[in-house]
Amino acid sequence: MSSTTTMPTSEPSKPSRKTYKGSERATWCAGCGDYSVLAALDRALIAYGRPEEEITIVSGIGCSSRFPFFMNTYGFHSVHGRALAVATGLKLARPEITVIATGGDGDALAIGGNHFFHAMRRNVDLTYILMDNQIYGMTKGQAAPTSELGMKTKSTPYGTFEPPVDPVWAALTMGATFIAQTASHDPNHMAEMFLRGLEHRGMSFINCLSPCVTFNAGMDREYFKAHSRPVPEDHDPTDYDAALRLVREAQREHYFPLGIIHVRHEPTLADRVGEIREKLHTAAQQKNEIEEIVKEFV
Amino acid sequence: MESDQKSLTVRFEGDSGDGIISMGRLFARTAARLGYQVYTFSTFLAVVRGGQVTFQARISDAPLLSQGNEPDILVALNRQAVADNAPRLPKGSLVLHPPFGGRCDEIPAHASVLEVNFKEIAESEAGTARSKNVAATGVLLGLLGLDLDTAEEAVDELFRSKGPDIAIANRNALRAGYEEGARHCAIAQSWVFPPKDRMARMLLSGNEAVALGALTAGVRFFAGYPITPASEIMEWLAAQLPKVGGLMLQAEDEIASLAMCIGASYGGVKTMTATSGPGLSLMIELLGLAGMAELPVVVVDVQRAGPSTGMPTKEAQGDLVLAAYGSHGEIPRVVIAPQTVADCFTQTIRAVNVAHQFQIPVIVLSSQSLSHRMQTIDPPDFDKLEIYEEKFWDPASGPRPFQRYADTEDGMPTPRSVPGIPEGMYRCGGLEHNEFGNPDFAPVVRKRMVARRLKRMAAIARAFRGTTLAYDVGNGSKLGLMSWGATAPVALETLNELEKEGITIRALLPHVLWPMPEMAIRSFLQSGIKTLFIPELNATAQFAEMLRAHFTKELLENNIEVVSITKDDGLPFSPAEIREGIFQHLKHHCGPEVLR
Ligand SMILES: Cc1ncc(C[n+]2csc(CCOP(=O)(O)OP(=O)(O)O)c2C)c(N)n1
Ligand code: SF4
Repeated sequence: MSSTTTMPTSEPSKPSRKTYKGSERATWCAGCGDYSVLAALDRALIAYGRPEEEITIVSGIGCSSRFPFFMNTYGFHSVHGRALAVATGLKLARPEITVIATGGDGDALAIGGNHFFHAMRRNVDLTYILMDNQIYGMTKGQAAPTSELGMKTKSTPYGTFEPPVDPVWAALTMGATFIAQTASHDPNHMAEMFLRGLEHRGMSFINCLSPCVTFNAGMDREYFKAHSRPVPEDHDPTDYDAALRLVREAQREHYFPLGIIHVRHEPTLADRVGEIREKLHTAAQQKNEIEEIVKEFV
Repeated sequence: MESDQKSLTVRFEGDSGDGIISMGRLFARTAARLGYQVYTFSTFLAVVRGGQVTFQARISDAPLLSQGNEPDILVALNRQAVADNAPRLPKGSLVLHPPFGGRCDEIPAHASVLEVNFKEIAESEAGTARSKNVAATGVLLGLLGLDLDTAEEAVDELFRSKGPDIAIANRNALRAGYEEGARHCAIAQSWVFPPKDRMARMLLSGNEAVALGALTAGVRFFAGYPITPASEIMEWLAAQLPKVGGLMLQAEDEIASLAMCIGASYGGVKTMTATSGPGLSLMIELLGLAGMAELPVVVVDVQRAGPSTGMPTKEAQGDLVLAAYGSHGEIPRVVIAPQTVADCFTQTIRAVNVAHQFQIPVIVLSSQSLSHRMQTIDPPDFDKLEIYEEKFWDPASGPRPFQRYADTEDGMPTPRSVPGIPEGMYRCGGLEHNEFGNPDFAPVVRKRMVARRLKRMAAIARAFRGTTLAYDVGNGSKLGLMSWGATAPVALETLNELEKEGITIRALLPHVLWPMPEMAIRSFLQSGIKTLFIPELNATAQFAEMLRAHFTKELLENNIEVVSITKDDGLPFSPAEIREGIFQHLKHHCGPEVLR
């Protein structure tokens, strides 16, 4: 499926306009980048146009994982690091539901690292929105796996000793079939990336540079703006090698490439299972299948 | 055992390359087809390959409770098998073995011996020495006069996947062995008895029965991570679930396994995962989530000997406390322990039903010996099985506004909503929440929600009251026995034997271990028993400790002494060991009057 829907370019103005935002007011700190993510997802969903009861937002634990409570959809605020595993189970059990996962960089790449790896390679049809603030917000300012080498935080008084993980590189090498990066300082771009991710059939990973103004004040919107560049016009996101080169270059030159890094179309896990089911079904007898199955034990 | 019950115990033993398991299966399958009740047990000394392998099959004309004690017939394929078993061979037993070049002097005089060159039969009839195990099984079947056609069918099925030539070769080996055996049938005459009826019985392992139970109960999503001795559950379901529109997904670990099941459960699909102790340890976090979010899910723990990696292929009942109490904070949950392969089927169905009826996590506590043992069960009548189907909140007729965690007098859950149902949207998760599912830490709300979860346990206990919880046998004795899981039927067999000797012991063997079946246990403790034996396979007497904690008053008031019979050596109890435990105590602590 390719992107055919056009994005509204400004905040919805008509009060009658449908919104997916919940009645509960978001409780993030004033200026937190996650507000932009919430607004952008609302806009993307308006363009996407599915009824709210057919959408479920699954998250882990963290400031960014509070997301489901601020949306008027089905929501599952699970436990720290497990959002992708919960989302995978839900999507495989209920393939007709649009399942979106959200969370922070710690949730995704530290405690949830194992699930992240396997969710990327499974190509389950999920949209994963990672709010990357390079710090642990909810627990008040410890180092994250994305924190830059040497960054001083509450848990790294002498600076971190470990080089960071690049979420985009991780997703790319682990097998996600849609990878984009966007930032809170460009809400239109963010909404556009979300919509493209929602429309992609397969694992869509969108890394959002979403500042924590309270515990990582040095990396605010201005910082991310100054350190990012749009993906070059001539970048072909369907060329996997080009995507690898692009991300490597960005790492070397210390900037965040914004835009669609990579996209490819491959059967989803559900597609592959569907094929097997069909084969088995044509082979299966007409009779009650369980009663047939039981015969193997007699 | 019923008093006029006949049974025969055959032990197959040899080197890991001898095809011992195939022999045992061939014998067991043939007997089950013919209508015998069958009970098998096997051990592997080495984890993967090499070493001595034992397969014991006991057949009977009535339901069996244990694998039996020492064998009536020993089929020994190597010298070591003879040496290992000889000292304990009972009177009148028979040893069937190939020539070892010399006499086996250690075989006691009270046992008879039949030496047959299985290898020669296999080489001349099947063209390969590899069929010697089938030839030996043929000899055994011929000795006992079990139907040859039925055995040939079983051979075909066993070897079909290896190609028609191999199947034919093995058939030939079987037939020739059978003829040889038939010539010597006089020495086995005392072991020949017919089955009660000729109904072909299902022969399956505990793991297969759990998986079949899940499928029958409507489980359509299973996520799991391989672990001995539970893997066969996921493997069997991997093959079957797609046939009924479901799916088995091999997760990256046990945390993900349960998390995926919880996600699927949120979506309204019946789910299950299966693991062993190490996996259950990892799942505890997610078990708490299921309890907090009130999502139905079934976790099967096929216990093995811990702690840590312990002895992966060995039997133990050491996870009871983890299953019943493991969680930070307090959640409603049910723990059910099947005792037999038939239970593995019916109690798994019950577990799935209970999970959905009460919207809680349910743990099924199986164990290694139960999981790999094969036992006959009567084919289930699928039309008569009770399968609970959850009714979801209906936007047309359901109460409004929709409250996922609506307060109820009796603590019972109200119908939940699942994605796709309009106007039923709610947010759930691990945070404390109010009736709508929104986070709420207000003390009054917290109080209501804690009470809600506790009331759920009370409601469950009430609901279980009327149902059969366990065997309850042996009225009017001063001696009592409680046991659980795979140990329970072995204990029951011990008691049946003691009964024949005039020692009556009253037994209560509950399936549901948590919540503890209060009414049943209380009336049991008030029935006049003074000594309560509790055999279980762990070192710290976990069930006995739970009983002490919950029934202190009843135990004190009725002056009951709890006598734990424990062992944790990696092997199941034999009836003789439980008998020994009981007698040890009686000898030291009671006069002979207690025995009356
Ligand atoms: C098992 C477990 N360990 C630790 C925590 C504490 N904890 C909550 S959120 C969090 C990290 C949050 O950081 P991140 O995922 O980056 O999200 P953010 O708050 O920055 O949006 C931690 C360590 C927890 N809730 N559960
Ligand atoms: S602590 Fe940081 S991440 Fe959390 S809400 Fe405040 S600004 Fe946002």
